[in-house]
Amino acid sequence: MALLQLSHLTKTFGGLVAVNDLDLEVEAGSITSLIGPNGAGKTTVFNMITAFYAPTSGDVILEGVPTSGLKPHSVTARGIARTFQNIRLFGNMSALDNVLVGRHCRMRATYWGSVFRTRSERREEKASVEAARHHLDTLGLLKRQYELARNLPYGLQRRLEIARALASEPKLLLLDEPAAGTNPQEKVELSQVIREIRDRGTTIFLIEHDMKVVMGISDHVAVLDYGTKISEGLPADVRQDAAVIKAYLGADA
Amino acid sequence: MNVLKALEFLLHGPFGDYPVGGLNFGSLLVLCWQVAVFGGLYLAIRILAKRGLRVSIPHVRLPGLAGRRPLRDVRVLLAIALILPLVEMLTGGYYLTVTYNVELYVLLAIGLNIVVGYTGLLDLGYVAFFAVGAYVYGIFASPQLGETLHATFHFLVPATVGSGVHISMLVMLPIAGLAAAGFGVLIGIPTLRLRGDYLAIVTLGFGEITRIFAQNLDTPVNITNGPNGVVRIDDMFIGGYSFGDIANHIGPISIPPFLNYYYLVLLLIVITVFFVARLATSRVGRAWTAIREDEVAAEVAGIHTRNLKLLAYASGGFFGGMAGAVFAAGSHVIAPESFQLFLSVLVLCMVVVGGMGSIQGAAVGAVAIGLPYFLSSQLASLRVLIFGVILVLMITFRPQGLLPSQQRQAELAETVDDGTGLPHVEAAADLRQL
Repeated sequence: MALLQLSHLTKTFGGLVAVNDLDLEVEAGSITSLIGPNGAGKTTVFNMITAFYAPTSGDVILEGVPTSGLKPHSVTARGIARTFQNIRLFGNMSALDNVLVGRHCRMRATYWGSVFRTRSERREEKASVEAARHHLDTLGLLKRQYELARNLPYGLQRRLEIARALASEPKLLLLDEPAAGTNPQEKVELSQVIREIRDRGTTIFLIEHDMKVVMGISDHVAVLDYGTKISEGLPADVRQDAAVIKAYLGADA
Repeated sequence: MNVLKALEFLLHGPFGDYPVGGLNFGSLLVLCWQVAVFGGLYLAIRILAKRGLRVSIPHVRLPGLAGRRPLRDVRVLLAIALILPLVEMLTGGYYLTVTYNVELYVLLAIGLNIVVGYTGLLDLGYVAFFAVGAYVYGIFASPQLGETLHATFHFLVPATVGSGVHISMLVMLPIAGLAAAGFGVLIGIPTLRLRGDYLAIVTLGFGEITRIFAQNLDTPVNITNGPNGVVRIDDMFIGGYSFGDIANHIGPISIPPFLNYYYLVLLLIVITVFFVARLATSRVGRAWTAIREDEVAAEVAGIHTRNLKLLAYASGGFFGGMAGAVFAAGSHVIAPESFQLFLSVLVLCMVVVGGMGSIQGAAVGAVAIGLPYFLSSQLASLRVLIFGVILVLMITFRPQGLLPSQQRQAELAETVDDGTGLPHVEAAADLRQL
């Protein structure tokens, strides 16, 4: 069974059909990509998976259980983490604290535990800092753990967002255009990092515009156009698909 | 008196003899004068600020505190706070009253700082918590409750109950705090979806509603005694020791009531600081800060934003409520007019002037605003002017506040050289190990 299953997922905003009857499966341990022209509804799909939008109809099914009715924070607790297309870090917190916030839902310290620094709270905090440093190290940010997130260069901010998402120990990581605005060298490194994360057992669901990145690392690619899935399959097959070429380049190409 | 004359000229210019108030030629002239004077003053300040005139907090070195900033050192602040009233006792009672009032402001500012500074919820109705705490204490610790019960259920409750319930402050303080905390959750729930300006307006409304409620809740059942307020409120007492007893003494030295209250509030401040400091560097405090920075991202990071925001309101409310109870006991009388909107604004300004999200900042801000404000109480409307001038100066020259939190300090670029050339902050996780 697929880790994530989107079944007849539809979202309308007034008269606009942003996502239309989308069926999609993300296999555990895969890197699945969702591509499509601007405004195709890709981010809307992510927002429905993370429960930011309630689907107009259809279901998001994680490990066989529908997530309908859950709040975004409970979806995170169930094992889905995401990054944002426009970076949303906690700018005035250090990189380390950003990642620690990501661990929030895996920590159990209570209000009183925090005030009185109970033994379990201290142990948990220590373990969490270690885990957070580990994630920072994975993303190559350990040296800059004490810098304010807002002062990090753009490429590192994108990485920090991934580190924060990883800190919640997700089964499924949604990356919304992680390569946007990065240079070719950074893109190569990023692809490497994404593969590494997958190899450690986190399934990746990716929205990306950069075809080099998408074709290079994806196991499976789905193409959205005007909210409808127009093609799906192996990267090489999708690249040849006439419908996809038409959607990207226009009818005459 | 010359100072007063000068200030009056500053405010009214040469048009001082016209009756001001209402819309007439004289008041229009005065208005134009004020716009000209203060506009000019403001521009002058802006120009000075552009020239790079920056105010930095003097880096005073005290023996034994090499390199530390004394105002940042909790031990120094505590030592000053402990000794100050004893010195003031030598000069007579008045300054003790002043200090005690400023101290209440400090407690309020630190409490509000949880809501505004850490969680980023712009709350303009903080006075409501103060009022709830004061009224809960006032109603229970005065004849008010007994008289009302007797008047309402006279067939059940004999008139002898009228002398009020006398309960130790060890019980009453937490009760007042918890009532205000509950009230915080209550007004927190409808405002959960609001942010920024909208939240400010709604909380402002709730603050006013609370006061007007207190003013009108004398019918049908007399709970708050309406505009007359609750009177004959007991002093705090613990065991057989009453805080209001002027016969209290240690050896030959008598202890004035305000000294008792002063140290009680100091104790409450220490407890509050303990709570806030511990929370700030833990899971809960980090979540609060994350909500302040980006609520959407916080929710996605797995933070139950609703509960944590309510928790912030409740925590801020708890300390505000206890401050209210002490206020009620210390002044023996509370009336709706003690809980005006202006008090909310004042406390909020203390937090902002001191530096948001910093405990020492809130304390220093409370002194910096509360002291001149309280001392100028005889200058009537001029005190608001002084207050305004302080605000304009602060916003122009030191927008981050007097003692900003480390984060905010780094944000406004006080660089520590670590080779990267970038501002450097300690993570909360490291601070706690210091």
